[in-house]
Amino acid sequence: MKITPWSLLPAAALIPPGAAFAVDYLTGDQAQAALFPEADHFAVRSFTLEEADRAAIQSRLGLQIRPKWVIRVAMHGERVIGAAVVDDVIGKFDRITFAAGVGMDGVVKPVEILSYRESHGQEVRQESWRNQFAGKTETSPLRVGDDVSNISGATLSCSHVADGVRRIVAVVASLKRSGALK
Amino acid sequence: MTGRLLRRARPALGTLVEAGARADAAEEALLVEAAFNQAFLAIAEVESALSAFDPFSDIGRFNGAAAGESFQVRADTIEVLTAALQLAQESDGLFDVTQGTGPGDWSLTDGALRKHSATVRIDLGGIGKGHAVDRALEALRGALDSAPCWINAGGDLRVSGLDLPVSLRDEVGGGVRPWMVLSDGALASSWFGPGARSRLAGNHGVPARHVSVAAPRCLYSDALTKVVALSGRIDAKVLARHGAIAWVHR
Repeated sequence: MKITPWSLLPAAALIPPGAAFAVDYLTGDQAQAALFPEADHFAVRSFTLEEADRAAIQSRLGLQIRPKWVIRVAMHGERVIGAAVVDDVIGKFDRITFAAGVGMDGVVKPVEILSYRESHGQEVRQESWRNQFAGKTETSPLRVGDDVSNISGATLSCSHVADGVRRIVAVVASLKRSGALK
Repeated sequence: MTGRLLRRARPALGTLVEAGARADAAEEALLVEAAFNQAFLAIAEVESALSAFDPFSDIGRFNGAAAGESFQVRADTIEVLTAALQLAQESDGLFDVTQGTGPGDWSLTDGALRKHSATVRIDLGGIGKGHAVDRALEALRGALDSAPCWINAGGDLRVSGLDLPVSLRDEVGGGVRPWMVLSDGALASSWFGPGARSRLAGNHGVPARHVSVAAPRCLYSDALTKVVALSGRIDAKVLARHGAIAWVHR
């Protein structure tokens, strides 16, 4: 085990104290391929939930559900094999972009994290700051380079990602039932 | 630093788990991806043995068992419970996986876990995540032929073979500040206070504390943050015994 205090490093001046933090893991395209490796292409389609369906999901899950969804429909030839959705959730200090996938057989794929942002808490609590991410579905490419910074801190809860996945699973199921996704 | 740094993250252990590694050649990226999958599999294995939320895990079974029941547990459970017992002795009971429900009401003999009272409950939340990080790091390092790599489970992290810059979060106001470079070791931080996720057994009267512990293994850095938070001391003998260094942040 070896520990070097930051103040003794030549690069100490590069990162200002109280800085924000960001990591990109996968692009949306890389994530959809990881969720559905058997797909030969993806069709990006926009869906609007029927108001009655939206209300039903909302009351069943106890979560806010937006009407419009952009879905990356996984295709094998002419056949639809599943649906992948890239979405954002916001926690205490963090914004997480993740991808969830559901096969047409209803099987939920392991969730992939696309990017992680940690900011100052006060920014996260501002409505205007939160709104700038609403409906955003793309992120920058997988980062390769020498930026390996990590955070040590109290464990952040991932429950908002779990809620985000429940939303997507319910929306995809509803679109399948209504015949909109086939 | 040469080579490409690759990293991948998934939700697991109730938080975000990141696996990272250095690949020296572009064609190694596929190997690294496969190694990341091995690491996430190791974490899922530990979680399925230790999670208190899963009624079919060893710990879920124990909590649901009647007094006097005994059953064989998995290797991960044996390793963590053995370490927990030792830490309880070394910390004069400050480290307690039963969180006050009956520190002496369980025993482990030849791989069999026995429950001695109806009310005792075990929660490995304060040590299991560290063990999962150790197991994932070993899986990753094994799959990568000891190439430089790291695992970070929502702030409990372990690194092997490279210098990893680590920032510390301001748990009250948000934001991070540069803190240290960790090489070949583990680091865990915990925040115990109003609105915090971590809870300490019998913590009434313990002031809000933000603590970190570095140790060669993440099982110990994770577990020892609880001992430091409860005692407020960074010079306890139990720390030196496990090669650990502690901080109480102000």
